[in-house]
Amino acid sequence: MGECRLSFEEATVCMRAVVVLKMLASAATAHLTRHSLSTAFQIRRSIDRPLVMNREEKPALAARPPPPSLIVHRSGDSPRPPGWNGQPRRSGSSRFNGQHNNQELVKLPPIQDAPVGEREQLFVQKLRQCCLLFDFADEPLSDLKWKEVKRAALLEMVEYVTTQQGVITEPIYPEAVNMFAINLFRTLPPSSNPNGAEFDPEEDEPTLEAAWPHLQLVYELFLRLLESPDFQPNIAKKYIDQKFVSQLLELFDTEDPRERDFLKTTLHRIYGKFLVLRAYIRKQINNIFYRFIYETEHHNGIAELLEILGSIINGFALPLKEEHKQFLLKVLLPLHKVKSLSVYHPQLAYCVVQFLEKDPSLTQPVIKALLKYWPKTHSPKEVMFLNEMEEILDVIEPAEFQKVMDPLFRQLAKCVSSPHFQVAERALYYWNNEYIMSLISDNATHILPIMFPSLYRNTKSHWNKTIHGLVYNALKLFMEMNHKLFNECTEQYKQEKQKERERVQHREELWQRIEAVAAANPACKSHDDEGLPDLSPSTLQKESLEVRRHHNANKPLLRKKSDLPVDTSTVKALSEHKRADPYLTTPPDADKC
Amino acid sequence: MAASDSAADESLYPIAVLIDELKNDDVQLRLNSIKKLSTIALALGVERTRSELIPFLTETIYDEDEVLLALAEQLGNFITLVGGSEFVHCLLPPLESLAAVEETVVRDKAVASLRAVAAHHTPQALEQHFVPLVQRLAGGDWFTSRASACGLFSVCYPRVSAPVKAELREHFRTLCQDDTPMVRRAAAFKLGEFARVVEVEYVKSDLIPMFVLLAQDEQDSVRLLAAEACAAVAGLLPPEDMEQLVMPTVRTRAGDSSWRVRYMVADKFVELQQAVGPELARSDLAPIFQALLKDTEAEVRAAAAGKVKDFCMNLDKAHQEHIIMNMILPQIKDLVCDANQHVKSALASVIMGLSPIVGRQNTIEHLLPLFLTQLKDECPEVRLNIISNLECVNEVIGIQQLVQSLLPAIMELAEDTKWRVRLAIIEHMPLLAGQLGQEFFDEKLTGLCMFWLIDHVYAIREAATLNLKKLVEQYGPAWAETNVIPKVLAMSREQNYLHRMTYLFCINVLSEVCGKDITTRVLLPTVLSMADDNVANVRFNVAKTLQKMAPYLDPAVIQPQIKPVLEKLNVDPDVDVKYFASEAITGIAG
Repeated sequence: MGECRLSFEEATVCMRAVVVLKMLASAATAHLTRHSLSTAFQIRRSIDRPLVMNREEKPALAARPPPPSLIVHRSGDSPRPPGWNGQPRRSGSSRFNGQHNNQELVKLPPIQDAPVGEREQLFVQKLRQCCLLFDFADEPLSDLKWKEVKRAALLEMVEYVTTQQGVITEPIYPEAVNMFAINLFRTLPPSSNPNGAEFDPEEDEPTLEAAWPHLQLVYELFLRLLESPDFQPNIAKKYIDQKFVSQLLELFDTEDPRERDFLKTTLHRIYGKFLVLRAYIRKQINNIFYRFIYETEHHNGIAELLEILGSIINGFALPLKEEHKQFLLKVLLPLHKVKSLSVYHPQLAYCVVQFLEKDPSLTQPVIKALLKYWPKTHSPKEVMFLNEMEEILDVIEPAEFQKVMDPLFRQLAKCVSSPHFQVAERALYYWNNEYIMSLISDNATHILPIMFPSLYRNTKSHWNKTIHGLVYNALKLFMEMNHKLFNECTEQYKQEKQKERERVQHREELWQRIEAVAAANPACKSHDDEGLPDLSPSTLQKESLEVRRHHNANKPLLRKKSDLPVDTSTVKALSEHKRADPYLTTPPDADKC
Repeated sequence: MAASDSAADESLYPIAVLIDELKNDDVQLRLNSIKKLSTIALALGVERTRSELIPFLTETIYDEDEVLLALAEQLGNFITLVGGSEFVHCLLPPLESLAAVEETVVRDKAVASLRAVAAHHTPQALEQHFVPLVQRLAGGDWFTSRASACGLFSVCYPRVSAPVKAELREHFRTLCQDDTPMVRRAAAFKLGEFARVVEVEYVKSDLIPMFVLLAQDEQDSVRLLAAEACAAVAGLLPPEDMEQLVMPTVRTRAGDSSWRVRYMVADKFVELQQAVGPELARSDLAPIFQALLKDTEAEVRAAAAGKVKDFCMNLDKAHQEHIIMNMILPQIKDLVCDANQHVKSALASVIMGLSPIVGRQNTIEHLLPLFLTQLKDECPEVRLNIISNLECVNEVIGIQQLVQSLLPAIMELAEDTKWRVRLAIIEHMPLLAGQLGQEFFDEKLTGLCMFWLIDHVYAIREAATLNLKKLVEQYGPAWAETNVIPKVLAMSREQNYLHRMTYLFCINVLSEVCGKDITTRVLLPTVLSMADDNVANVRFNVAKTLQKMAPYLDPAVIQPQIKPVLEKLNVDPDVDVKYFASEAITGIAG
C-alpha cells in the first residue's frame, strides 16, 4: 500500500506522499553527487594550482598570454540515438541558389615553373580562379575535379608566399583581398540544430562549415600574407578597410570553432599591423558585446574576441586612457551578467586582472561591480566568481583592499554558508591563500566580526562534512590571529542572536503601523487589489491549469536536448584542427591608439 | 512607543522605516519594501509623497537591478498617489534616471511607466516637463538613454504644438542615424509606432527617408527591424505613393543577403499585402512571395509557407484563382516534399485552408494528393497539423475522400512512442467525432479512446477521460450507456489500482454529462462498492468522486446510500481518507 502511494505522481495524491518522495529523492541525489562532485572538484583544483599559493611562485600575469578558448568541448563517446543516419552535421553558407552547377576551372601551371616575368600575372590569375565558389553542403560530390583544382591552387599559393620573397607586389593586394572577401564573407546560416532549439555552446555540438577544405586554405593564405615580411600595411589599407573589418567581425558568430580560431588570429594580426583600424575594431567589438549582453545573450565568438582583447590590454600604455577604463567598467564587467558566462570566463577574468595589474586604482570599482552582479541562484557561476575574485585578490594592493573589504567579506560570509557545498568549499579555500590571509590578518578587527557569525553557525549546521572541516580550519586561523578578538566575537554572536529576534518583531510592528495609517487614507481602496496575491485553492488550480495549457501550446512537439547525437566525426574534425597561433602576443602599442 | 507620542514623530516614520529597510543587507527585504511603496505613499498622503518620498527615491537610486525594476514598475502606478494629473510630472525625475541605467529590463519598465505617466500630463505639462525629458534622454552620452528615448516620442507627439513637434521629429531623425547599432535598432523598432501619430506629409518628408536608410543599414539586425516596420509605414501612405516610397524597399529586403531579413519580410507578408492594396499585391507581391517560398533557407520557407492561406485569401477575387493555380500551387507541391520538417509542418497547418478558396474541383484534382502525401509524412507534427484542420476540407469535398488515408494515420499517431504526440491526437478526437459521424467512429475509433484510459502516462489518461466527456456531449447519454459505460465499469475491477483510479476519474467527468438517471442507476453502485478498496488512494478518491457526483444524483439516494459510506470512510485508519471523507460530508451538506 505504501509503495503504491509513492510510485504515483499526480495532483490529487496526498501532499504527504509527495513531500516524502521529494525528500527521499533529494537525499539520494545529494548523497550521490556529494561524493563524486567533491572528488572531481578537488582533482581539478590540484591540477590547476596548489592549494597554498605563495605570491612569489606565481608567474607575473603580464608574462602570461591570454588563455586560449577551447576548440573541442567534450569527448565524443556517448551512444547515438536510434535513427541517426551517421552523417555529420555540416552547414553550407546561405548563398547558393543552385546556379553554380558544372563550373569548370582550368588547371594552371605552377607559378614556380613560369618565367620570373610572368609569375605575378599567373599569381593574379590563380587568385581570380579561387574566386569561384563551390557548394559543399547540398552536393558534396559535385564538381569534384574543379574543387580539387581550386584546392591545389590555394595550397600552392600558401607555399609560394611562405617560401618566396618579394612576390607580394602591388597588383597582388586588391586581387588577394577581393578573393578573401568573396570566399569568406557570407551570411551565416541559421543554426541547424535538428530539434530547432537555439545552439547552446555549453551543450550542443557545433555545426561545422561544409566548405572548410577551401575555407581553411583561404584563411591560411590570408594569414601568411599578413605575416609575410614583404607585406606592406600602407598599400593594403586601401583594401583592408573598415567595411572589410566589420564583415570579418560578423563571422565571429560562426558555430565552427576552427573558423573562429582562424578569425581570431587574423583579426589579431590586422589589429597589430593597421594602426588606423584599431579604434574602429575596438568600437565594433564593443557593439557586439553590447548586443550580446543587453539584447540577444547569444554569440558564439565572445571567448575569441576576449582573447584578442586580452592581448591588446596587455599592451595598453600607462596611464590608461579614459576610453579603456570605460571599456572595463561598461563592457567587461557587465559581461559577467550573461548566463553563458562559463563559455568565456577564463578569457574575461584574464582581461579584468590585466586591467588591475596595470592600474590598481580600478580595483574598487571592479570589485563593487562584481559584487553587484554576484549570482544569486546559479551556483556554478558563483564558483567562477569566487575563482575570479581570488585572482583579483592575488594582485590587490593592501590600500585598495581596505577600501573594499567590508562589502567583499559580507558577500564571502554568505558564500561560506551557501547550502551548495561547492560554493562554500571554494570560498573557504581562500583561507589557504597566504596572501589573502595576510591581508585579513592586517585588518582582523574589521573582518573578523563580519565573517564570524556565518562561520560559527556553520560549524554545526552545514549538511556537508567536508565543509565542517574547512570551517573549523578557518575559525582556527582566526583564533590564532587574535585570540582576544575571537573571544569577543563569540560573546557578541550570542548577544546578537538574542537581539535579532527582537529586531524582526520590531520591524513587523513598524510595518503594521504604516499599513494602519495607509488604510486610514481615503485613497486606499483603489490600491487594495495590488496587495497580496489571491491564494485560494480555486485560483491556484485555475492559474496552474492556465500555465500548463499555455506551456503546452508553445512547446514544440519533439524537442529534447539530451537526444542530440554526439558526432564523432565532428569531434575528430575539431581535434585535427591545428591552431594558427596557440597564444596571441601583445601587439605593440605604437602610437597609443 | 507610547500612544501619546507627538504627531510629528508619528508622521516622520514611514520614510524613516523605508530608509532603514533600503539599507538592509538582504535584497529580498529591500525588494519587499519597494513593493510596498504604495503603502508608504498612502501613509504619507499626496503632498508629502511629492515633497519627501519622490525626492528621496530620486536621490537614492543605487541598488540591484531587481530592486530598480520593482521601483520602475511601482512608479508607473503612482499617478493618484501624488495627487493626479496636475502633479504627475513630479514622477519624471526618478523615472528618467531609471530609463538611463544599463540593464535592459529596468529601462524597458521605466519607459513603460513613463508612457503610462505621459498620458496623464496636460498638454502644457507635456511641453514643460515631458518633452525636455525626452530631449535630454535623446541627447544622452551613453547609448542606453538614447535607446530609451526612442520609445517616448509617440506618446507625447500628438498633443504638443507644431514647433515642438518639429523638434521632436528632428530628434527622432538624429536617433535613426545614431552611431551605435543599439540605438538604431531601438529607433527602427519604434519607427512604425511613431509614424502612426505623425501627419502624413511629415511621414513622407521626414520618416520615409529614415525608413529607407534604416532598411539599408550595414547591420542585418537593423535592416530586419526596418523590414518589420514596412507594413506599418505602408499602411499610412496613400496608394499613389506606395510604388515610389515603399515598394523599392520591399523588393530589396525580400532579396536581402541575410536570411533573417528575408524571414522578417515573409513573416510580415500578409500585413504588407493588406497595406499595399490589391493592385500591387497582385503585380509585385505575388512574385516576391513565390520567391520566398523557394528560398534557400528553411527558416524563410517555413515562415512563407505558414502565410500561404492568408496570402491567397486576401488576393483580389478576379485574379485569385489564377495566381494560386499558376504561381503558388507549383511551389506548394515542392514544399510538401521539403527536406525540412518545420517547413512541411508550417505548410500542413494552413494547406487545408486553401480548399474553400479554390473550390471543390481544384481541391480534388490538385490539393487532395498533397493532403494524402502529408498524411503519410514521416514527421508526426505534419500529420497532426493536417488532421487538426480537417473541417475546412470537410466543408468543401466531404471527409469521405480522405477517410482511407486518415484512419491509418490516426492509428499510427495514437500509438506514437512520444506521449506528447498521443496527447495531441487525443485532443483532436472530439473534432474528428463530429466530422466522421457516429457510426464510423464506433466502428473504428471508440476502442482506441478506451485504450488510452490505460496508457502508462498520467497526462494521457487524464486527457482520455476528458475526451470521453466531450464525446458523450456530442453523441448523447444513450450512446454512452451502450458504448462507453460498460467498458469503463469493467475497469473498476482491474488488478492495477491505477486503472481503478482512472475509472473514478472517468466517473467524475461522466456524471456531469450522463444525466441523473444513468448516474444514479449505473455509475453510483460501483463507486460505492469501491469504498472498501485496499488502496488508500482509491478510497479517498471515492470520497472525492462522491462529492463531485452529488449534484448530479437523484437527491433521494444521498441519505440512504452515500451518507453511510462516507461516514465509514470518515473513521478510516488513513488520515487522508478521513480528511477527504469529512470534506465530502461538509461539501454535500452545504
